[in-house]
Amino acid sequence: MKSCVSIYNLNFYYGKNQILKDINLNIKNKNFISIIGANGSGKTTLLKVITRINSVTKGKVFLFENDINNYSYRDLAKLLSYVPQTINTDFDFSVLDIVLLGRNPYLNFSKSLKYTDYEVVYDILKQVECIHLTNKSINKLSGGERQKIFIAKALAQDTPILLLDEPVSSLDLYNQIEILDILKQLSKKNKIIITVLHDLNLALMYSDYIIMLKSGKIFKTGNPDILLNNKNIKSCFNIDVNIIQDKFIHPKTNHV
Amino acid sequence: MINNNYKKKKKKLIFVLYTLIILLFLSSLFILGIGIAKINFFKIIKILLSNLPFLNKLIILKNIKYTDIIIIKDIRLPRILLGILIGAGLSISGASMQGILKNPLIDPYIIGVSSGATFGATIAIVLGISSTFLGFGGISLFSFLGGLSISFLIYYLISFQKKISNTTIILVGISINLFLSSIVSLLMVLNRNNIENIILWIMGSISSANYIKLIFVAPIIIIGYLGLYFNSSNINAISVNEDIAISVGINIKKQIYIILFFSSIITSICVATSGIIGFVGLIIPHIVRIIFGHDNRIVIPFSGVIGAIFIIYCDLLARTILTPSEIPIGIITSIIGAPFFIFLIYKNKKEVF
Repeated sequence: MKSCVSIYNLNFYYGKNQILKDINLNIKNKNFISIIGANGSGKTTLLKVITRINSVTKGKVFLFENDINNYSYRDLAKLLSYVPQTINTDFDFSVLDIVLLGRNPYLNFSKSLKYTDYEVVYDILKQVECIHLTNKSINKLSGGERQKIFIAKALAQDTPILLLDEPVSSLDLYNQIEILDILKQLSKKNKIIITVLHDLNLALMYSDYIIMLKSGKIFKTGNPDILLNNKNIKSCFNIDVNIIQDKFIHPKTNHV
Repeated sequence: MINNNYKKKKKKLIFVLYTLIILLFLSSLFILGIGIAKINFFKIIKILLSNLPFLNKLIILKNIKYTDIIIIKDIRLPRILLGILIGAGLSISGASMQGILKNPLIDPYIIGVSSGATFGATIAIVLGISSTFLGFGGISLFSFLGGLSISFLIYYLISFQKKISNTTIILVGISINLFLSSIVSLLMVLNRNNIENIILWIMGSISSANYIKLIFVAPIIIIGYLGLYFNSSNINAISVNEDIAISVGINIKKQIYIILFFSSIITSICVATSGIIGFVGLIIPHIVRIIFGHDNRIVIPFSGVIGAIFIIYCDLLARTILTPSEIPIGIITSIIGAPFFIFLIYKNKKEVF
């Protein structure tokens, strides 16, 4: 199987500040990847470099074994979709308008939406159980609904890879579980989810693979149950934790 | 159910758009007859039809006064057509500018086009350049070039940034506006005998309309409109969030330049032919958004039509309130626009749709 994201000696600077240092990564055969690390450790920047929102200062990023700089923005948008951390807009776009943005890479020159585009969007809104919000203004939604709508936009792009920046940080427990369940289901359908998470418990429960960042460098990568131990957490977050191992019982389905 | 909803909505919007276009057309016919010389509606239609090929042989203009024909054909008709173009142009360019700079309180003059154009016009007035170039006055030509070159200067200044920030564009635009208005004031102080001309020019008027002007203005505004309309879904993405825009495949830097380019050619030609007509580019897109939602694929064409209707009625007021003298149309639009805009700002806090 081809590796979907591989990064070689990536360095990234904001002006003179070095944010990312010598990142080397190869993501392959993993479907739910969480990036964890303290604030300012470069998690968001790493995602933005992969999406080409920030352009690489030094090093190479490959998607499906092609350099991302060789893709046009449009072609890249057919491979990965991105959900930013916070989105504030002064304009009251409707939910439908937002999700339709996801169809942008597939539009022709005149940018006219076809019937099939609407079909895709409605299907996705059903899938994330937001069809009743279709004509509402995005600014009138609750945090959880909003997040789901932007995930729906990412899904409308129909890309193999989804990048999410702290999708559940500002949400209550119920919505956290709901959104991560949606993502988990997608990952089972062969989508590759790469998400920044702050909650280590959630990272442990949901991910197949964890990338730990510490001040711009990759601290460790690996399987969550091996990686998340006292020693690693202490040196990554600078805090002592007491790990209590228990069976994870899903709060909604009651499955182990 | 889903496809019905979507088709119904689309049909409804198209219906409303056609209704507005018909309203614009009827308003124009109505306005053509009003003024010092009142001209009967049927006479107007006869005069207009007599100018069409083939039909003109069937129409007899014998019982219509020659002066009426001249007033309709050579004075009021070009004036209304210019008004339609200017109103549509300013509103369209305002709508896209607000979208691209993610700020609904912006007008098309923000990127320095108006002050550049005023500067150009002032220089032409001060130097006494009044000769016409293909019917396009020296003042208009200078101000068109002034507006364009200032907007290019602004592109150049913002091109140094790695990532274009809308705040920078707005701040650079405002600074250049202030800088150039000081120079214009300086030129006015140094050339006191021309102050009246300059001020009248700035206040804006479409009274000098003629067909040659229309030939220059129409293609530029139509090209600008098409350019903005075909990019309207990209404007949507950018006004939601720049990162979102990039992630859906938009080369944002290029896109911002494209939108600024089309907006500034429209604004420059509008200012060059009719001075600074304020508030149109600001309030019309607002009204459209309140009624029809924020999708720019809808906002841009609807702003065009509603802006055109707004301007022709304002111009009607401008030329009839104080007959026989005329009020500059910029004054009318601002008198109507400013209170309305304040109302909108307050209302904005709990805006519906």
